[in-house]
Amino acid sequence: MSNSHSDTIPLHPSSQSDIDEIENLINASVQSGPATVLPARPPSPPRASIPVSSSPFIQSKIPPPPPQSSSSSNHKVPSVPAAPPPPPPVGNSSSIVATGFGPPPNTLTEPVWDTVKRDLSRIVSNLKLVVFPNPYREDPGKALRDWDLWGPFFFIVFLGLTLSWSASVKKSEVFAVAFALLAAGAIILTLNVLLLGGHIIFFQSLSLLGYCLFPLDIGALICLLKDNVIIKMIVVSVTLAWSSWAAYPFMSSAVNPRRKALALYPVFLMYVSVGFLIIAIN
Amino acid sequence: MSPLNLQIRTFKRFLHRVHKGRSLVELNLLMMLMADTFSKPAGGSQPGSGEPQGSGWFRTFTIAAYKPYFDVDTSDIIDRLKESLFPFRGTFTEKTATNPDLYGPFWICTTLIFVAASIGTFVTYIAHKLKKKEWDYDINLVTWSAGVFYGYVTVVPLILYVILKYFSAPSGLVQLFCLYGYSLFVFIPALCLSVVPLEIFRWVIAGVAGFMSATFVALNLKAHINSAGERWFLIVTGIFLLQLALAVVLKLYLFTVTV
Repeated sequence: MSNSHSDTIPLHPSSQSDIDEIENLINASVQSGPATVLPARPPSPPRASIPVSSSPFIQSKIPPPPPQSSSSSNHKVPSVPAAPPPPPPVGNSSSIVATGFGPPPNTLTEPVWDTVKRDLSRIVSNLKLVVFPNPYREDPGKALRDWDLWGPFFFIVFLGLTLSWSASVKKSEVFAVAFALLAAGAIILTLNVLLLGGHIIFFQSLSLLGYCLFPLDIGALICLLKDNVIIKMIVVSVTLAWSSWAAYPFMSSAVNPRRKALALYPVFLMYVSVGFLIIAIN
Repeated sequence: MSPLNLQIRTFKRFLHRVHKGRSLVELNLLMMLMADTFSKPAGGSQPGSGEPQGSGWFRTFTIAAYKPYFDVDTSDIIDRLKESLFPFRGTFTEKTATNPDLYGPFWICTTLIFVAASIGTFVTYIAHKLKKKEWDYDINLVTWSAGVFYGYVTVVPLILYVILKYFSAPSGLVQLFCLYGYSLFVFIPALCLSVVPLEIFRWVIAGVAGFMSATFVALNLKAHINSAGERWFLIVTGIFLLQLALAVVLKLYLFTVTV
């Protein structure tokens, strides 16, 4: 690495070591594999990415693919015509430059069942972390990092379908209202926290609120099967309390403590209204 | 020089300037870059929060444009709610003049929609069960009450804003939203009490709640218009009657049960 000192200012002694450390890390990752852009979050399973084996950083010895924008990491793009040979497989190395994209061709050429299985296992693991939180688990922030939107989508659609099956008239309207209420509700709750000055990432919060619907899904299913009003009320109250309890830590930690109730009340309101809808539809 | 070397040199220059405290703008940009790439949730999904706002009409679509209206604590909201239950003080507009909030109006309306739909459903359910008739859930209650409440709190303050401007007693639009939003709070306990199946009782409740709510709006508006030195009578009576009409409409639609 050549340093031209003519255009730099003499450094504070501690900053030189910081800069050198970062330099070394960048060099180390460059030698270990392609790293286009630092991803917005370190994905733990290898995700499908564009099968580009060269990046703006390395001098490519491979026939150059058409120039890609460096931030399009998680989209499935139709593969490049002159398919470059696969880059050397990368492990999850340094923390700054996450190389968790993995060898791209494997995720594109793998069987569909593998992809589906991977997504399903992510849903299950997120569900366990969000809805059945184990206080002694070793990595409390894992669900936050590995958020996805498939789980919430399944749960919302399932709840809408269950309510629609239970309804005796106007089934399609019931589904529409339930779906709109849940989807718009999740977005509005997230916006509420952001407006109150809280710190959350938008899609992460959508994902968490979607996962916290799982107990209400179970409650709706039980209410579909059993038709007694008293049992319905008990089941719905229990699952409602469970959902709110699951959502409480995420929401309350996101805002200023003086505004905690302001952020939590709408969550409670949404779950109570969904619970009411479950009881009333018979 | 290879692209990587160029990158590293530029990065180093950034750090030099940061350490020398040269430029806060560059420090800001650097922090944004790092925050975005390392997904620290500081500032969340608004990378532009440290920069001067974009100009023009599309500011209304950013979250940051509405943040000042949500700058309230739980204790503030509770104070304002309590204030709305005492309509004869007339001090609400003064208290919220500097810090009107949109949190209260929006969530009061949403709670009202839910309470109205659930109480209305419950009332028809009880009525049908008492007469041993078939009962189906009417999903239109939810959509209808959503339309009424959100529409009322949005449209009427807008019209009032225009009218006040015409009569040279201008008031801020957000203050009007705030006033109307909190004036609807008294309907929540009123709706809960209306579950009692006595017709006279329901009319009394609706009348009292409507009167309280309308007085709240009217007195606060009167205080405001007086301070601008204009004649207040016509506007204030109009507003009063409108609020009473809302209460009557609610009573008629939600609690008229034809079995």
